[in-house]
Amino acid sequence: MELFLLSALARGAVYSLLALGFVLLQRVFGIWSLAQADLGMIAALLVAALTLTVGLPLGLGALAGLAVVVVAFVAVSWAPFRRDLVPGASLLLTIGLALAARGLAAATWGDLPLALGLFEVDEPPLAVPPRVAQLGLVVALAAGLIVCLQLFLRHTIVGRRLLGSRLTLGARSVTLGWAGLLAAAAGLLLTTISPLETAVGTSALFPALAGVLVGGNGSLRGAVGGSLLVAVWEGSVAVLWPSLAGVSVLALLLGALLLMPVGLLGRLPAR
Amino acid sequence: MRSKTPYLVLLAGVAWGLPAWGVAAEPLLVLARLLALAVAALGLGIFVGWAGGVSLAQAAMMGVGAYCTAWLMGAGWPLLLAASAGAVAAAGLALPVGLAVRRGSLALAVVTLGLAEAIVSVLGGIDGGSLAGGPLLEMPLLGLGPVVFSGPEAAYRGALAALLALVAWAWIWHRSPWGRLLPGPGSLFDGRGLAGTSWRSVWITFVLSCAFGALGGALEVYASGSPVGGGYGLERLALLLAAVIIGGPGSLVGSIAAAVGLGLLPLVVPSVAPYQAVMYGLLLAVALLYCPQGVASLRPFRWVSARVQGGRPR
Repeated sequence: MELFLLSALARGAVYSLLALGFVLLQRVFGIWSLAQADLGMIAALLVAALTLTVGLPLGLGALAGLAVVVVAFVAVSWAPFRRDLVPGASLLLTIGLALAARGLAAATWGDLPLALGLFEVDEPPLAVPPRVAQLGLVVALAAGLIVCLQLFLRHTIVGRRLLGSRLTLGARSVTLGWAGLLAAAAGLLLTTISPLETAVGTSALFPALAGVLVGGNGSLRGAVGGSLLVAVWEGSVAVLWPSLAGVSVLALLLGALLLMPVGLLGRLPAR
Repeated sequence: MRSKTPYLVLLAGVAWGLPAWGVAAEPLLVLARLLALAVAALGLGIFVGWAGGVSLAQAAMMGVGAYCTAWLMGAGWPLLLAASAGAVAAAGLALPVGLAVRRGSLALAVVTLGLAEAIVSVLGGIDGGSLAGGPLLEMPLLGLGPVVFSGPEAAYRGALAALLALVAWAWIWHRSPWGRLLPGPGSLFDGRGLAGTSWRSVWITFVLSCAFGALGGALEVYASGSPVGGGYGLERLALLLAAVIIGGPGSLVGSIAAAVGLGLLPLVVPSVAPYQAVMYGLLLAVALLYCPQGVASLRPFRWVSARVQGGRPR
């Protein structure tokens, strides 16, 4: 039971990171980015290359991978995002970029899936099972990142400006940096739940977006709450009715959209 | 300014007469598959361009049409009936899912993404090769007593006839009271999206576009022999989306021409075949950034188009 709950929480934590990146980009730039999940996949593959091929220690490789992906995301995103794309066009644009990234990853890395072995604990403290310790670490790291984002947005000048109406160049760069960091961290943490392959991001994309809509489109807290709810629902259905696992999130989302038009903590009107 | 219609009628006539000019079976089947792709792109183009919505389930709907058709033809149904049943099945799936359109473009896009994932995962567990129980091309396209149409020529002309019929039908739909409620071409790119439109007309357009997708899948599977498990995923979706944007959202002829051109690319240049996802993804992104109204809106193409129509380039 505790493993089931922890597993659902870990999955929900990863969905939350992706959902937060989506909402942040939506509120600051007014765009809908579907490329976040594949950005996470690229980060995870980069870390795999740095650790398994180059031979860097796992911690150092993870930090280097995160840094490279965040810097690359900020640099690459400037050109398309400064064009004041409307949401519908940005959605299509990011799908195109995500598919191109996935195709490139498949061509570069070839034989997958890989086992990254992130956060594997051989001798966990307090005599908890290794899997429980690993999932606990995933939840703790994701929660730490979410708290850091919340503190940044509430208690720093740049953070408070991010969600305001007048945005400086620096504030926009910081937003992109946060979105890249959230996506990259989600990709890395996802490797502890699913095997690392080029479709690893896709498996988390739909539940994360469902979390955004269930929680309330545009709400940062709603994104976290909705993602956790989606993960617990997904895990419960998979245990109770395994044959319905493939459509469980879709059914939840459709029900939520029809019964709660603005979601749990919705902010933005439907567009 | 002269109308483009006579040129298009002439082109359709030439296309119809191709088999009579001794074109071999293999090229005819390739053309039939490309025309089937164009049917699916046409459906998506109508939804994206006229209704201002984004559907990410079009490729999966092709899968629904393909698998239904293979299964029903294996049970003795002719292609015409089996493909119609596939289109009805796709429309049946799209009806409840399309209700998400009431909550806006993003909700519909996310829901169609989920639907596509669910469909692809279900179809992935079915052995498409054994569904029909024999070569589909030897089964009838249309069985009218002793008159039976089958084979490559029937596959090609069936796909062409379906495409022309759907173009005519879309033209009529756009001018119907329901079609006139749609926001029109370009609404996706000027930020209007679905705002201020009748959700029912957008909903019906979405359902119809899914049915078009299923028909495309049915026609394709007849020409190719059997449905391919992994062939209806995001790679195919990227091709369809790129065709719609490059062809010009809302342009029937543009969507068809772009789908045929993009589908032909890996056949003409086999070295790009392993990189189709990269190619279509980048083409989609570049087209959205530099010519969101389609390649025809670029200066050289505007000049050619104006010359064809007897006017002066703008």
